[in-house]
Amino acid sequence: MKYGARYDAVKKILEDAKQQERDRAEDPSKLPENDWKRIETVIDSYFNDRSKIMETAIGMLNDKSATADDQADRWSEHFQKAAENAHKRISDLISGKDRKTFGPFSFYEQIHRISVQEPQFLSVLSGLPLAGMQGRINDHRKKFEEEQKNLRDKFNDLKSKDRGFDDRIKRTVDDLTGMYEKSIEDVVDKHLQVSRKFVAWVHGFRKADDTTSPGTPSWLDPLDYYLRALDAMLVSPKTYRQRLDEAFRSEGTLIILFDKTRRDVKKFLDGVNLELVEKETEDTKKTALDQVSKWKNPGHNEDGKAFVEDTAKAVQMTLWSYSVVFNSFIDEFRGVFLGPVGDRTVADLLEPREGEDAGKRIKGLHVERQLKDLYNEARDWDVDFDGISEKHRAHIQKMIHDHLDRLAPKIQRTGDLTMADANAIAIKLMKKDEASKMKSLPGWDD
Amino acid sequence: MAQSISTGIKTDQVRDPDPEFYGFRVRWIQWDSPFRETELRIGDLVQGVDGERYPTTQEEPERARAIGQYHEHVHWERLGATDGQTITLEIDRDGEPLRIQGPLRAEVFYHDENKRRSMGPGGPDRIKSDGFRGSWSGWYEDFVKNASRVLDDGWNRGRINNKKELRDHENNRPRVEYLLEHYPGPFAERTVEDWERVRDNLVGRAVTLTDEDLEYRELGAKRVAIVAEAAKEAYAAFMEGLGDDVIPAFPTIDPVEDDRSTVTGKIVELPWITFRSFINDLGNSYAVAGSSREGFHFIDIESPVMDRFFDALFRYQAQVTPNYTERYRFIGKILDDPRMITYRGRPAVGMMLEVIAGSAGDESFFTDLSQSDGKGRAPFAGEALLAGLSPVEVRDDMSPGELVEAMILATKVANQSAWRACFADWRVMSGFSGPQSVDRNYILRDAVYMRVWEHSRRLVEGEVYDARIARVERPRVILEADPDLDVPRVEELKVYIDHFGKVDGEYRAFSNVNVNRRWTIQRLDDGPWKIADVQHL
Repeated sequence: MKYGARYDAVKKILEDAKQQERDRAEDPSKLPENDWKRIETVIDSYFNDRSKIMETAIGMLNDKSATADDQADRWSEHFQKAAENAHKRISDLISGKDRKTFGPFSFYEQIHRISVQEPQFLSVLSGLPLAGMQGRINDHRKKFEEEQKNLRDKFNDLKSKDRGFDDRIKRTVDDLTGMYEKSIEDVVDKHLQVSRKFVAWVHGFRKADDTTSPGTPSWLDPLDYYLRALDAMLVSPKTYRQRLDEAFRSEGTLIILFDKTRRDVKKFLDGVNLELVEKETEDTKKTALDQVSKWKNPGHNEDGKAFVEDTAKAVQMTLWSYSVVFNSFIDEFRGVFLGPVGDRTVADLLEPREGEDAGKRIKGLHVERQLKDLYNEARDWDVDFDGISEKHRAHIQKMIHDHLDRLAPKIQRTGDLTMADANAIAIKLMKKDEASKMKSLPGWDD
Repeated sequence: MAQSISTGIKTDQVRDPDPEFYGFRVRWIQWDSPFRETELRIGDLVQGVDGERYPTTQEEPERARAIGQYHEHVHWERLGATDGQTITLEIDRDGEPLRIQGPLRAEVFYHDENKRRSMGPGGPDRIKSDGFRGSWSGWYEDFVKNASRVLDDGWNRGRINNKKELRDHENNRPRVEYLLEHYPGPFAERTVEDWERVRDNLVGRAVTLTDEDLEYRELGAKRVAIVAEAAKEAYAAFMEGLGDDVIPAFPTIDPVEDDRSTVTGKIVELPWITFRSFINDLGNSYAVAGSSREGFHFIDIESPVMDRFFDALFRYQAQVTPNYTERYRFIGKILDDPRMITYRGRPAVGMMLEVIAGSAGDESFFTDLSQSDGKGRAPFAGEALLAGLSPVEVRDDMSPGELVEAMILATKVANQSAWRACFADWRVMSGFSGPQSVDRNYILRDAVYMRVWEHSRRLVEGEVYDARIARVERPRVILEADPDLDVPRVEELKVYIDHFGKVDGEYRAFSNVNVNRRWTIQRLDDGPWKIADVQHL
């Protein structure tokens, strides 16, 4: 019989009690030996049933779906009912007998004591915390399974949103580079027009004399367009910049969400993790052992301890199932929501390589250099002054200087600002800051 | 043939090993018994006669010869008693010992003028029916059986439904009136008296309930109205005070796509939500409003401000009514705090709100969370208008009657914690007939207490207008202490209560299957008295 230490002790106690009564009886033939036998048969049967009751309780701990409250309630009701039945069953063996007539060591007195002690034993078992602990582990396991799925969905959602932003950024960069390329074409075209008209204008002076008015140089027209084209290169990027800023802002919000989710995961795991649950289980077992170690009756402590050890083994199985789920959770999210953010996560969420490529495309436009080339070409216009009067020569040179004076700052400014813009955009596209920020986000188990 | 001498009393044996409680309870006194003229009452416990107490170990055939038992006449025969001989009954009436004298009487057989056996002098004929259902003797036997059941502490010993019993009893009125009219005489007179006694018993004792007695019901009616009116006004004033800071809650921005600064700091009023919108995400609890189409707002339910909201709501339930439609409407300031949580199985992104005010129920509750009542609590609108309620105290030194009264009061004023404190945290285990024991680790689930509590609350808000102590029995020791076995001394008694309902404008006691009259009270080792049965009022 499992958990039979108390049964063995009871058998001895009853045997000793019977022997004492026999030794003291004036007429042993009058002793109620038949009644004693009847009672002992019931006692044997009771302890067998008690063993089964305890084993059934351990079987309840195989339920992987029961919550902490369910398990605690079921366990408690199981043993409370057993305690009530035990009391009824054993106390009825001596019903109708007046306890005052029992001697202190008599057989019936021992039965009375057992009728009180057994329900007390079962009542203590009803309050053991291990069943509730097992239910709690079930609750933790289910919670981790649920949150694992939720986090997976969240990460996929973040990635999907980020892909959307990256697409927008890419389109904006395409539009921006297209705009720059077209603008430069425009500028070059106007530059050529200016050159042709300038040459024609200069040539006109060979036919003029000092009294002829040089007129308004027709090459000023394309020059204005030229200058306006340069202006456009400064103004147009603003709308693209705004689009990029919005996309970067959205991506920034994604990083905030990612950071907050990591913090929530950290807080969640600080509250419940495998180590904590293992410790709590061990502490619960110690509490249970302590609860079952306080009886003075021989056999009860041994039965109680053996039962607690077996119960703890059953709880251990549930703990193992939980550890599988917990470790799966950790493995899936390490480098994402747990621990240092991995390169793969940064790549998934920020896609910095694509940003780098886009940045290189913008910088590769070399807008500044192309504009400077145009300027130098204008500055190096080789004017053939043969056949042109001194007066007109001076006029031509003045016009050239004026032209260059108007052109130079614009070219400079356009080049500088466009390059500055392009550099800034390129740097932003490379997302080095964001990647660095992301990699330094605090998390669990860093 | 020797005359059969007896007292004319009918009794039931009350088995009890304690001689203080052993005896024979009077369940009926025959209409022609001389003891009808004495102080003897139905329910009295006859514990002896002429100075001799009945022993608790009384067995047959002696038991059957006790007063009121079927062989009583044999006892008198053996003693050579005569008709008219005076005897003295040793009586216990609710712990009070009495001695009641009365004469014995020889059995009388009555005949009418036709020399036929009749119920009494002047009739009626025993086997006739006079057009009624069943013979007079058959009818009278049933009549006595029912009357005995009712008058012999029927309300407490059996679960009678007095209204139904009264209706059935009234069905006898025509026959009883016929009896008096057509067979006048002592039998008819006594029968009419008995009929009226039973009727008075079944009607239920009347009680006057003052406005103060019924004030607790005002908790559910007038107080709700007062507070609801205050809530409406406070809400309107609050919303007006917010002015242009309020923007429509939906559609709201997408915190990722859109510029959060356009809404940060603005105030929104969320639509009504229920508990279905309360979720848990990674161990944090949120209330969620919105949809994937129109956007989301989130509230952190575990924040200090929400603690204040629920604290106010719990006070409302305790002081006004425990019943309210479980729905909530929050007003909050949008924070620059985007979150992603899982809602209905999918990731949802929204902005966090800092709640500044909230409503509950059918707009019957409103609290401005920026206010404080001096104790750090946010008052709910109308709270200051409510008169202070008598606090319910459950003390260790309370008598059993005081304890039950405290339980009743706690139920009326919806003080659940005081109510719960009235119940024992142990149970006495009994064998079928063997010795008892005490389980001090006995725990009932919270759900059981909640179910019993809610049933009790429904009663005091429904058919029960009041409940008062009807009787408190003497305590008795049901288990002696045994320190060696860690068994405490257990005393027990029963307290009976009357429940009062409204009948035709009057408040009268009633009994039916919905209410519990009998309450078992126990204490361990002279400790505080507690209610042993977890049952509804």
